[in-house]
Amino acid sequence: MSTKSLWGQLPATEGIRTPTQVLKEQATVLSDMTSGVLQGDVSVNRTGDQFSLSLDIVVPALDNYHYNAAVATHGVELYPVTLRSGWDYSKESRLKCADEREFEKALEQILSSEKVRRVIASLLAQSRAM
Amino acid sequence: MNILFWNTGARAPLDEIAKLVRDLKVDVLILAECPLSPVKVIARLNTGARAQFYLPLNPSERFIFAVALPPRSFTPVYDSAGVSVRHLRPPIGQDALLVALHLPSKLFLSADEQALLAPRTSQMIERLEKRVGHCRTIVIGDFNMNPFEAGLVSSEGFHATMARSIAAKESRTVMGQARRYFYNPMWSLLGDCSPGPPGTYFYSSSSPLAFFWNTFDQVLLRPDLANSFQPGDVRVIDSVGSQSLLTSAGLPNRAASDHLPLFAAVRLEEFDNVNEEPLGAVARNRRN
Repeated sequence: MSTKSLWGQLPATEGIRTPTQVLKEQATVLSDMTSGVLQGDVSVNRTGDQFSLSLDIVVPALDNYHYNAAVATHGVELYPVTLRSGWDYSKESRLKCADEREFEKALEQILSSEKVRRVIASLLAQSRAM
Repeated sequence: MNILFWNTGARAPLDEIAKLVRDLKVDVLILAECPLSPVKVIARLNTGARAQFYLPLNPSERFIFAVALPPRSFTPVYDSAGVSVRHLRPPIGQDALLVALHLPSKLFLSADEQALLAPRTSQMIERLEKRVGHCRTIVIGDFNMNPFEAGLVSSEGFHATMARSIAAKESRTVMGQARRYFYNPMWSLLGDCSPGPPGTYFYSSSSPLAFFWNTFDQVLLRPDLANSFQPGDVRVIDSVGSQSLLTSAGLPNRAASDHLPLFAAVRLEEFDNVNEEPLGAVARNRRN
Protein backbone atom coordinates (compact mmCIF):
# COMPACT_ATOMS: atom_id res chain seq x y z
CA MET A 1 0.00 0.00 0.00
CA SER A 2 1.48 3.34 -0.98
CA THR A 3 1.94 6.09 1.64
CA LYS A 4 -0.64 8.82 1.46
CA SER A 5 0.84 12.21 0.51
CA LEU A 6 0.15 14.97 2.99
CA TRP A 7 1.79 17.57 0.72
CA GLY A 8 -1.31 18.28 -1.29
CA GLN A 9 -0.99 19.24 -4.96
CA LEU A 10 2.55 20.51 -5.58
CA PRO A 11 2.61 23.86 -7.39
CA ALA A 12 3.54 24.00 -11.06
CA THR A 13 7.04 25.38 -11.66
CA GLU A 14 6.94 25.77 -15.45
CA GLY A 15 7.32 29.34 -16.57
CA ILE A 16 8.99 30.52 -13.35
CA ARG A 17 12.29 32.23 -14.11
CA THR A 18 14.46 32.40 -11.04
CA PRO A 19 16.73 35.41 -10.45
CA THR A 20 19.68 33.05 -11.07
CA GLN A 21 18.25 32.13 -14.50
CA VAL A 22 17.75 35.78 -15.41
CA LEU A 23 21.36 36.57 -14.48
CA LYS A 24 22.67 33.51 -16.36
CA GLU A 25 20.77 34.58 -19.48
CA GLN A 26 22.48 37.98 -19.33
CA ALA A 27 25.84 36.27 -18.82
CA THR A 28 25.25 34.38 -22.08
CA VAL A 29 24.10 37.56 -23.86
CA LEU A 30 27.36 39.31 -22.95
CA SER A 31 29.41 36.44 -24.29
CA ASP A 32 27.41 36.41 -27.55
CA MET A 33 27.64 40.20 -27.99
CA THR A 34 31.42 40.20 -27.60
CA SER A 35 32.12 36.90 -29.42
CA GLY A 36 33.46 35.48 -26.16
CA VAL A 37 36.03 38.23 -25.58
CA LEU A 38 34.06 39.01 -22.43
CA GLN A 39 32.04 36.38 -20.66
CA GLY A 40 29.52 36.38 -17.85
CA ASP A 41 29.74 34.30 -14.70
CA VAL A 42 27.04 33.82 -12.08
CA SER A 43 27.96 32.55 -8.62
CA VAL A 44 25.61 31.74 -5.76
CA ASN A 45 26.50 31.98 -2.07
CA ARG A 46 24.24 31.08 0.80
CA THR A 47 24.41 32.53 4.31
CA GLY A 48 21.62 31.15 6.52
CA ASP A 49 18.42 31.43 4.49
CA GLN A 50 19.76 34.28 2.34
CA PHE A 51 20.96 33.61 -1.19
CA SER A 52 23.45 36.02 -2.71
CA LEU A 53 23.88 35.95 -6.51
CA SER A 54 26.75 37.71 -8.27
CA LEU A 55 26.94 38.49 -11.97
CA ASP A 56 30.58 39.03 -12.94
CA ILE A 57 32.13 40.13 -16.23
CA VAL A 58 35.00 37.73 -16.95
CA VAL A 59 37.95 38.53 -19.20
CA PRO A 60 39.66 35.33 -20.46
CA ALA A 61 42.53 37.32 -22.03
CA LEU A 62 43.36 38.82 -18.61
CA ASP A 63 43.79 35.54 -16.73
CA ASN A 64 40.03 35.32 -16.20
CA TYR A 65 39.83 38.65 -14.38
CA HIS A 66 36.37 39.08 -12.78
CA TYR A 67 34.55 42.41 -12.49
CA ASN A 68 31.47 42.25 -10.30
CA ALA A 69 28.63 43.97 -12.19
CA ALA A 70 25.58 43.19 -10.05
CA VAL A 71 24.62 41.50 -6.79
CA ALA A 72 21.13 40.17 -6.08
CA THR A 73 19.95 38.77 -2.74
CA HIS A 74 16.78 36.90 -1.91
CA GLY A 75 15.38 34.56 0.72
CA VAL A 76 14.00 31.04 0.28
CA GLU A 77 11.13 32.54 -1.66
CA LEU A 78 12.52 33.89 -4.92
CA TYR A 79 10.93 37.33 -4.74
CA PRO A 80 11.29 40.02 -3.56
CA VAL A 81 14.89 40.38 -4.71
CA THR A 82 17.22 43.16 -3.59
CA LEU A 83 19.53 44.25 -6.39
CA ARG A 84 22.53 46.55 -6.34
CA SER A 85 25.40 47.34 -8.65
CA GLY A 86 28.65 45.51 -7.99
CA TRP A 87 30.59 48.70 -7.34
CA ASP A 88 28.33 50.40 -4.82
CA TYR A 89 27.21 48.85 -1.54
CA SER A 90 25.47 51.93 -0.12
CA LYS A 91 21.87 51.54 1.03
CA GLU A 92 20.75 54.12 -1.55
CA SER A 93 21.96 51.94 -4.41
CA ARG A 94 19.79 48.96 -3.42
CA LEU A 95 16.68 48.37 -5.50
CA LYS A 96 13.90 46.20 -4.14
CA CYS A 97 12.17 44.20 -6.89
CA ALA A 98 8.80 42.66 -6.10
CA ASP A 99 8.71 40.32 -9.08
CA GLU A 100 10.54 39.10 -12.18
CA ARG A 101 9.47 42.08 -14.28
CA GLU A 102 10.80 44.63 -11.76
CA PHE A 103 13.98 42.59 -11.37
CA GLU A 104 14.67 42.64 -15.13
CA LYS A 105 13.99 46.38 -15.30
CA ALA A 106 16.37 47.12 -12.40
CA LEU A 107 19.03 44.82 -13.86
CA GLU A 108 18.79 46.59 -17.19
CA GLN A 109 19.34 49.91 -15.39
CA ILE A 110 22.62 48.60 -13.97
CA LEU A 111 23.93 46.70 -17.00
CA SER A 112 23.28 49.57 -19.40
CA SER A 113 24.67 52.21 -17.01
CA GLU A 114 27.48 54.53 -18.00
CA LYS A 115 29.79 52.88 -15.47
CA VAL A 116 29.33 49.38 -16.95
CA ARG A 117 29.76 50.75 -20.47
CA ARG A 118 33.08 52.35 -19.47
CA VAL A 119 34.29 49.16 -17.79
CA ILE A 120 33.32 47.03 -20.81
CA ALA A 121 35.06 49.44 -23.19
CA SER A 122 38.23 49.33 -21.08
CA LEU A 123 38.21 45.53 -20.75
CA LEU A 124 37.59 45.02 -24.49
CA ALA A 125 40.47 47.35 -25.32
CA GLN A 126 42.77 45.59 -22.84
CA SER A 127 41.80 42.20 -24.25
CA ARG A 128 42.59 43.28 -27.80
CA ALA A 129 45.95 44.65 -26.66
CA MET A 130 47.00 41.24 -25.28
CA MET B 1 57.37 43.22 -0.72
CA ASN B 2 56.57 46.53 0.99
CA ILE B 3 52.93 47.59 0.92
CA LEU B 4 51.50 50.89 2.13
CA PHE B 5 47.75 51.35 2.61
CA TRP B 6 46.24 54.69 3.49
CA ASN B 7 42.60 55.76 3.70
CA THR B 8 43.17 59.46 3.21
CA GLY B 9 39.59 60.29 4.22
CA ALA B 10 38.87 62.58 1.25
CA ARG B 11 42.09 64.54 1.93
CA ALA B 12 44.98 64.87 -0.51
CA PRO B 13 48.24 64.57 1.48
CA LEU B 14 50.42 64.18 -1.60
CA ASP B 15 53.67 65.36 0.06
CA GLU B 16 53.21 62.92 2.91
CA ILE B 17 52.37 60.03 0.54
CA ALA B 18 55.45 60.66 -1.60
CA LYS B 19 57.77 60.90 1.39
CA LEU B 20 56.37 57.75 3.00
CA VAL B 21 56.74 55.80 -0.24
CA ARG B 22 60.36 56.89 -0.52
CA ASP B 23 61.29 56.41 3.16
CA LEU B 24 59.61 53.01 3.49
CA LYS B 25 60.78 51.75 0.08
CA VAL B 26 57.21 50.93 -0.87
CA ASP B 27 56.60 48.56 -3.79
CA VAL B 28 52.80 48.71 -3.79
CA LEU B 29 50.87 51.81 -2.72
CA ILE B 30 47.12 51.51 -2.11
CA LEU B 31 45.05 54.62 -1.44
CA ALA B 32 41.38 54.63 -0.45
CA GLU B 33 38.98 57.58 -0.28
CA CYS B 34 41.64 59.59 -2.05
CA PRO B 35 40.46 62.49 -4.23
CA LEU B 36 43.83 62.86 -5.98
CA SER B 37 44.11 62.04 -9.66
CA PRO B 38 46.07 58.77 -10.04
CA VAL B 39 48.19 60.44 -12.72
CA LYS B 40 49.14 63.20 -10.30
CA VAL B 41 50.12 60.62 -7.67
CA ILE B 42 52.33 58.74 -10.14
CA ALA B 43 53.97 61.92 -11.42
CA ARG B 44 54.89 62.88 -7.87
CA LEU B 45 56.15 59.41 -6.94
CA ASN B 46 58.39 59.35 -9.98
CA THR B 47 59.95 62.73 -9.24
CA GLY B 48 63.50 61.84 -8.23
CA ALA B 49 62.32 58.45 -7.04
CA ARG B 50 64.32 55.26 -6.62
CA ALA B 51 61.93 53.29 -8.81
CA GLN B 52 59.56 53.96 -11.65
CA PHE B 53 55.99 53.65 -10.45
CA TYR B 54 53.18 52.95 -12.86
CA LEU B 55 49.39 52.74 -12.73
CA PRO B 56 48.30 49.17 -13.38
CA LEU B 57 44.97 48.31 -15.02
CA ASN B 58 42.42 49.16 -12.35
CA PRO B 59 38.68 49.18 -13.07
CA SER B 60 37.97 49.96 -9.39
CA GLU B 61 37.18 53.55 -8.54
CA ARG B 62 37.56 52.89 -4.82
CA PHE B 63 41.32 52.45 -4.77
CA ILE B 64 44.35 53.99 -6.38
CA PHE B 65 47.12 51.44 -6.94
CA ALA B 66 50.64 52.61 -7.72
CA VAL B 67 53.19 49.88 -8.30
CA ALA B 68 56.98 49.78 -8.58
CA LEU B 69 57.34 46.24 -9.89
CA PRO B 70 58.18 44.81 -13.31
CA PRO B 71 55.31 44.75 -15.83
CA ARG B 72 52.95 41.76 -15.45
CA SER B 73 53.88 41.54 -11.75
CA PHE B 74 50.60 43.06 -10.63
CA THR B 75 47.52 41.89 -12.50
CA PRO B 76 43.82 42.30 -11.72
CA VAL B 77 41.92 39.25 -10.52
CA TYR B 78 38.62 40.56 -9.18
CA ASP B 79 36.81 43.83 -8.42
CA SER B 80 33.59 44.57 -6.61
CA ALA B 81 32.33 47.26 -4.26
CA GLY B 82 35.17 47.90 -1.81
CA VAL B 83 37.09 44.73 -2.70
CA SER B 84 39.91 44.58 -5.25
CA VAL B 85 42.06 41.49 -5.69
CA ARG B 86 45.38 41.52 -7.51
CA HIS B 87 47.86 38.78 -8.37
CA LEU B 88 51.34 39.71 -7.17
CA ARG B 89 54.19 38.03 -9.04
CA PRO B 90 57.42 39.47 -7.62
CA PRO B 91 60.64 38.96 -9.57
CA ILE B 92 62.06 36.92 -6.67
CA GLY B 93 60.04 34.54 -4.50
CA GLN B 94 56.55 33.20 -4.65
CA ASP B 95 53.47 34.83 -6.06
CA ALA B 96 50.61 35.91 -3.78
CA LEU B 97 47.07 37.23 -3.85
CA LEU B 98 46.70 40.78 -2.60
CA VAL B 99 43.20 41.71 -1.43
CA ALA B 100 42.56 45.43 -0.91
CA LEU B 101 39.47 46.16 1.16
CA HIS B 102 37.33 49.11 2.07
CA LEU B 103 34.29 47.60 3.75
CA PRO B 104 31.07 49.48 4.59
CA SER B 105 31.29 52.01 7.41
CA LYS B 106 29.51 51.80 10.73
CA LEU B 107 27.68 54.91 9.54
CA PHE B 108 25.71 52.63 7.18
CA LEU B 109 25.72 49.23 8.89
CA SER B 110 25.48 48.02 12.47
CA ALA B 111 28.25 45.81 13.89
CA ASP B 112 25.89 42.84 13.54
CA GLU B 113 25.21 43.63 9.88
CA GLN B 114 28.95 44.01 9.22
CA ALA B 115 29.54 40.58 10.79
CA LEU B 116 26.75 39.06 8.70
CA LEU B 117 28.28 40.41 5.49
CA ALA B 118 31.88 39.38 6.25
CA PRO B 119 31.31 35.76 5.04
CA ARG B 120 30.67 37.05 1.51
CA THR B 121 34.17 38.50 1.33
CA SER B 122 35.83 35.50 2.99
CA GLN B 123 33.99 33.07 0.66
CA MET B 124 35.07 35.14 -2.33
CA ILE B 125 38.70 35.00 -1.15
CA GLU B 126 38.49 31.20 -0.83
CA ARG B 127 37.06 30.91 -4.35
CA LEU B 128 39.94 32.97 -5.74
CA GLU B 129 42.51 30.96 -3.76
CA LYS B 130 41.12 27.81 -5.37
CA ARG B 131 41.43 29.49 -8.77
CA VAL B 132 45.11 30.42 -8.36
CA GLY B 133 45.88 27.14 -6.59
CA HIS B 134 47.48 28.44 -3.39
CA CYS B 135 46.68 30.24 -0.15
CA ARG B 136 49.42 32.86 -0.03
CA THR B 137 46.96 35.66 0.54
CA ILE B 138 47.46 39.12 2.01
CA VAL B 139 44.38 41.13 2.94
CA ILE B 140 44.94 44.81 3.66
CA GLY B 141 42.63 47.76 4.03
CA ASP B 142 39.97 49.54 6.02
CA PHE B 143 37.69 46.83 7.41
CA ASN B 144 35.61 49.36 9.38
CA MET B 145 35.68 46.70 12.10
CA ASN B 146 38.14 46.19 14.95
CA PRO B 147 40.29 43.02 15.17
CA PHE B 148 38.12 41.74 18.05
CA GLU B 149 34.75 42.12 16.29
CA ALA B 150 32.79 39.07 15.15
CA GLY B 151 33.26 39.76 11.43
CA LEU B 152 37.03 39.47 11.85
CA VAL B 153 37.19 36.68 14.42
CA SER B 154 34.30 34.39 13.45
CA SER B 155 35.05 31.18 11.58
CA GLU B 156 32.39 32.24 9.05
CA GLY B 157 33.96 35.68 8.61
CA PHE B 158 37.69 36.28 8.19
CA HIS B 159 38.59 33.81 10.97
CA ALA B 160 41.56 36.01 11.88
CA THR B 161 43.38 34.98 15.02
CA MET B 162 45.79 36.95 17.21
CA ALA B 163 48.37 34.16 17.54
CA ARG B 164 50.58 32.69 14.85
CA SER B 165 50.70 29.39 16.72
CA ILE B 166 46.94 29.04 16.23
CA ALA B 167 47.01 30.21 12.60
CA ALA B 168 49.83 27.71 11.94
CA LYS B 169 47.28 24.92 12.35
CA GLU B 170 45.91 26.29 9.04
CA SER B 171 42.26 25.46 9.74
CA ARG B 172 39.82 24.08 12.28
CA THR B 173 36.58 22.20 11.92
CA VAL B 174 33.49 24.13 12.92
CA MET B 175 30.11 22.36 12.88
CA GLY B 176 31.56 19.74 10.55
CA GLN B 177 33.20 22.11 8.07
CA ALA B 178 36.87 23.13 7.79
CA ARG B 179 37.56 26.83 8.10
CA ARG B 180 40.96 28.29 7.19
CA TYR B 181 42.64 30.82 9.47
CA PHE B 182 44.14 34.19 8.85
CA TYR B 183 46.78 35.59 11.20
CA ASN B 184 45.98 39.12 12.34
CA PRO B 185 49.15 40.89 13.54
CA MET B 186 47.11 44.00 14.40
CA TRP B 187 46.24 42.51 17.79
CA SER B 188 49.83 43.29 18.81
CA LEU B 189 49.35 46.94 17.83
CA LEU B 190 46.33 47.76 20.01
CA GLY B 191 46.41 50.24 22.88
CA ASP B 192 49.06 52.12 24.78
CA CYS B 193 51.60 49.31 25.08
CA SER B 194 51.85 48.87 21.32
CA PRO B 195 55.01 50.24 19.65
CA GLY B 196 52.97 52.90 17.80
CA PRO B 197 49.75 54.83 18.34
CA PRO B 198 46.85 53.05 20.12
CA GLY B 199 44.92 52.52 16.86
CA THR B 200 44.51 53.81 13.32
CA TYR B 201 41.32 55.86 13.66
CA PHE B 202 39.88 57.90 16.54
CA TYR B 203 36.17 58.40 17.12
CA SER B 204 34.80 59.96 20.28
CA SER B 205 31.19 59.26 21.17
CA SER B 206 28.81 59.84 24.06
CA SER B 207 27.15 56.46 23.47
CA PRO B 208 27.61 53.77 26.17
CA LEU B 209 29.95 51.69 24.02
CA ALA B 210 32.86 53.76 22.79
CA PHE B 211 36.37 52.46 22.03
CA PHE B 212 37.70 55.95 21.11
CA TRP B 213 40.74 54.45 19.34
CA ASN B 214 39.82 51.93 16.65
CA THR B 215 42.02 49.72 14.52
CA PHE B 216 39.90 49.59 11.40
CA ASP B 217 42.95 49.53 9.10
CA GLN B 218 44.42 46.05 9.23
CA VAL B 219 46.49 43.50 7.41
CA LEU B 220 45.74 39.76 7.55
CA LEU B 221 48.08 37.00 6.42
CA ARG B 222 47.31 33.39 5.58
CA PRO B 223 49.39 30.94 7.66
CA ASP B 224 51.73 30.29 4.70
CA LEU B 225 52.84 33.93 4.84
CA ALA B 226 52.51 34.39 8.62
CA ASN B 227 55.25 31.79 8.99
CA SER B 228 57.87 34.30 7.84
CA PHE B 229 56.37 37.27 9.71
CA GLN B 230 58.61 39.15 12.13
CA PRO B 231 57.71 41.78 14.73
CA GLY B 232 57.90 45.21 13.11
CA ASP B 233 56.85 43.94 9.69
CA VAL B 234 53.47 45.61 10.19
CA ARG B 235 53.38 49.16 11.52
CA VAL B 236 50.86 51.93 12.04
CA ILE B 237 52.62 55.04 10.79
CA ASP B 238 52.28 58.18 12.90
CA SER B 239 54.98 60.36 11.41
CA VAL B 240 56.46 61.25 8.04
CA GLY B 241 60.09 62.13 8.61
CA SER B 242 60.06 64.75 11.34
CA GLN B 243 56.40 65.61 10.69
CA SER B 244 53.90 64.02 13.06
CA LEU B 245 50.59 62.78 11.66
CA LEU B 246 49.10 63.34 15.14
CA THR B 247 47.85 66.53 16.74
CA SER B 248 49.33 67.88 19.97
CA ALA B 249 46.59 65.87 21.72
CA GLY B 250 47.97 62.71 20.13
CA LEU B 251 45.01 62.15 17.78
CA PRO B 252 45.15 61.70 13.98
CA ASN B 253 45.62 65.11 12.40
CA ARG B 254 42.67 65.44 10.03
CA ALA B 255 44.60 67.89 7.89
CA ALA B 256 46.32 64.80 6.45
CA SER B 257 43.64 62.17 7.15
CA ASP B 258 41.41 60.90 9.93
CA HIS B 259 43.06 57.49 9.41
CA LEU B 260 46.73 56.69 9.96
CA PRO B 261 48.66 54.87 7.22
CA LEU B 262 49.41 51.17 7.56
CA PHE B 263 52.69 49.63 6.40
CA ALA B 264 53.26 45.92 5.82
CA ALA B 265 56.45 44.16 4.77
CA VAL B 266 55.55 40.71 3.45
CA ARG B 267 58.56 38.45 3.00
CA LEU B 268 57.60 36.85 -0.31
CA GLU B 269 61.24 36.97 -1.41
CA GLU B 270 62.12 34.58 1.41
CA PHE B 271 60.01 31.83 -0.08
CA ASP B 272 61.74 28.99 -1.81
CA ASN B 273 60.19 28.69 -5.27
CA VAL B 274 60.39 24.90 -5.15
CA ASN B 275 59.51 24.07 -1.57
CA GLU B 276 57.05 26.94 -1.06
CA GLU B 277 58.38 27.42 2.46
CA PRO B 278 60.12 30.46 3.92
CA LEU B 279 63.86 30.02 3.40
CA GLY B 280 64.43 30.19 7.17
CA ALA B 281 62.11 27.21 7.62
CA VAL B 282 63.82 25.35 4.77
CA ALA B 283 67.23 25.97 6.38
CA ARG B 284 65.93 24.82 9.75
CA ASN B 285 64.45 21.68 8.21
CA ARG B 286 67.72 20.93 6.43
CA ARG B 287 69.65 21.31 9.71
CA ASN B 288 67.27 18.92 11.49
